[in-house]
Amino acid sequence: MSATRPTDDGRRSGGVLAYVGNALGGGGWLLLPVIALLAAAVWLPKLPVTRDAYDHLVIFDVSQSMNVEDYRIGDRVVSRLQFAKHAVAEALKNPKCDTRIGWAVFAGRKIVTLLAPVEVCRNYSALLAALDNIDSRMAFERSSEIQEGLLWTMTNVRDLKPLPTVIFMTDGHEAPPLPPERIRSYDGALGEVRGWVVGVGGLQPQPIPKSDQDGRRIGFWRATEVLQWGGAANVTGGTRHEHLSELREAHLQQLAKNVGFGYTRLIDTQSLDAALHDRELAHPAVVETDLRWIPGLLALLLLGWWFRPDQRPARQAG
Amino acid sequence: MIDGQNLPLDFAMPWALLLLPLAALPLLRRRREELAFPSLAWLPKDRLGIWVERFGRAAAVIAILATVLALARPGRPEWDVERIGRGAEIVVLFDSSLSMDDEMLARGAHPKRRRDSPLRKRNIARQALSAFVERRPADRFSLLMFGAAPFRVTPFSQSPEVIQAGITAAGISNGLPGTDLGRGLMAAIEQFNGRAYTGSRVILLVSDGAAEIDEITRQNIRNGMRQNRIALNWIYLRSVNWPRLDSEKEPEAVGLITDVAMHRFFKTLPTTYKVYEAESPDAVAKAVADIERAQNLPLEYRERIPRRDFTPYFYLTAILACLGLLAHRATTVRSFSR
Repeated sequence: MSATRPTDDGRRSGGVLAYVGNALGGGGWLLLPVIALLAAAVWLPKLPVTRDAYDHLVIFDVSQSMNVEDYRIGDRVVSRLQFAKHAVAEALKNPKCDTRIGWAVFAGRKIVTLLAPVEVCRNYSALLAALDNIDSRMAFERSSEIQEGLLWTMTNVRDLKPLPTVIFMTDGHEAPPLPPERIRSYDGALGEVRGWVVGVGGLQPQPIPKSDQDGRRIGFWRATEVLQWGGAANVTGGTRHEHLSELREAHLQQLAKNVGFGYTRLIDTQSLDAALHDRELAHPAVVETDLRWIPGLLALLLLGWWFRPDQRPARQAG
Repeated sequence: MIDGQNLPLDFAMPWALLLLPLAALPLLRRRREELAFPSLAWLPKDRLGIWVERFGRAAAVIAILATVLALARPGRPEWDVERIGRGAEIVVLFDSSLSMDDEMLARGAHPKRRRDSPLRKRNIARQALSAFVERRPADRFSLLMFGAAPFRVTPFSQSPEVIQAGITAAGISNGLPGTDLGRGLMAAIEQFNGRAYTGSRVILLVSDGAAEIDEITRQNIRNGMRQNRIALNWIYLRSVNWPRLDSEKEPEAVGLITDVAMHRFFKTLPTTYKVYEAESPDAVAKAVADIERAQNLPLEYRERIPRRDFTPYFYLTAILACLGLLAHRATTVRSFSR
């Protein structure tokens, strides 16, 4: 029990000092650093801190083979493109505020940038709305020359400043088939434009849905409607069943290696982590950071220590 | 829609709330704060003492509680307020065809496709649009590009940053084959489908022309523009010293057949149509400024009030509680022996 009088000491020396001495005695002085830390927490401005930041341009292949439905979200069967979008949207769910992301689509031999990378936290819903708009109606050409598209990207992505890293999501299905002698090597400096090729699609050859220019399904591509590959099986993935499509992984690995990119396959929504959070792709960014939690936490630790429970239980009163 | 009034408080770092049980620590009776009395029976009941004791414990609890809450960074979440401003709902329809990569040059000069040229039509249009969006916080923008197919870049968005990112992207992409203006316009009209009419509606077409529209699509466009009550503004990026679209000369004579056909079709639209013939970066900027003046009708819009951080108040509360704790200690005896 406490009593309500200053100590005898205090009364003898008299005055305010006695009360102060009493307050600070017996470990009470610990409250002074606590108050100082809390005050620091109130008035501490945001400080610039260097952190890992990412700047991704995510490129979606929107050619017709990306409409092959060989993924599932829950028990719903979805197309490669839908699943790729879903995986990216999932990856954005817990955004780090120093990540910037933008969208582009690939068809023919080119990419078209839809959104230059923007900061994710502030623009989360707008980014998702824009992602939602991406579909195969955006295919501005009917062919899908992935090697050319990737090389084109390597050059043209430099128009974006700051230079983003590239996440290229495709099934590797070259249409028309790419003869091995047409494989080109990248003549730029490796490592300048960095990124990942993400392989999208299952390994079973599946019929490719055919759609008109407004995106309406009009059956499937037939064997006689597409250019078949007549030669022997080869690394570029040319087959005798070009009207069917499967993930042409060996070809994509080769393409990725050619431009110095990493390669990963999109199996589930976690697969993108390797690419999106690749430390190699991070660049240091100075971010104004709220550090008030540091003095705040220290103050809390001191308070907690000060009020720590006894080792032995308290005596029973009375 | 987030309603700020219903969500008065949220936490930016909610997991810090796991530390809340620490606030119970001062309530535990502690042996080292006890005074030993041989007998308590003779002591009178000390009402004041009990209250001073309670005050001390309460101050301690508040100090810890407020610090933990402050660590969780409380604040009022961002929310929207309805406001009436002056502005418009604007769909920017950006021609992304190959010719937009050309420089704006005098007739006869051979257009070059230099990537960083400030005279590139695409670059000029981008800069003017970017400045336009920046000066118009009350407007709602949606962005579409079109080549052979329309690209719905963003639906109507509250995020000017995203619109700017779209304009940046439109300014860098190399040209697309084809110029299917008809489908582009239809896609732009569709952006208004199902939206409540809240103010003036504009499609801002940025194009250097040379697009043909077939008769069926023309009729669809007329109907769509009428139903959704959309005005059309065309920033026509023409080359210097070409004749104007309304000039007396026959279009065939000056090689502007498709552009003049576009212009004549637009004049038959049931809603307002205005063309801004811009032949230089300055003229584009002027056209944009003109549209800015014209599109200033009252518009309901939502203003986003950013999140308000209450963290400092909680730290201040903790400081006050600590001062209270000191005051309490100043007036109490904790030990007979010194």
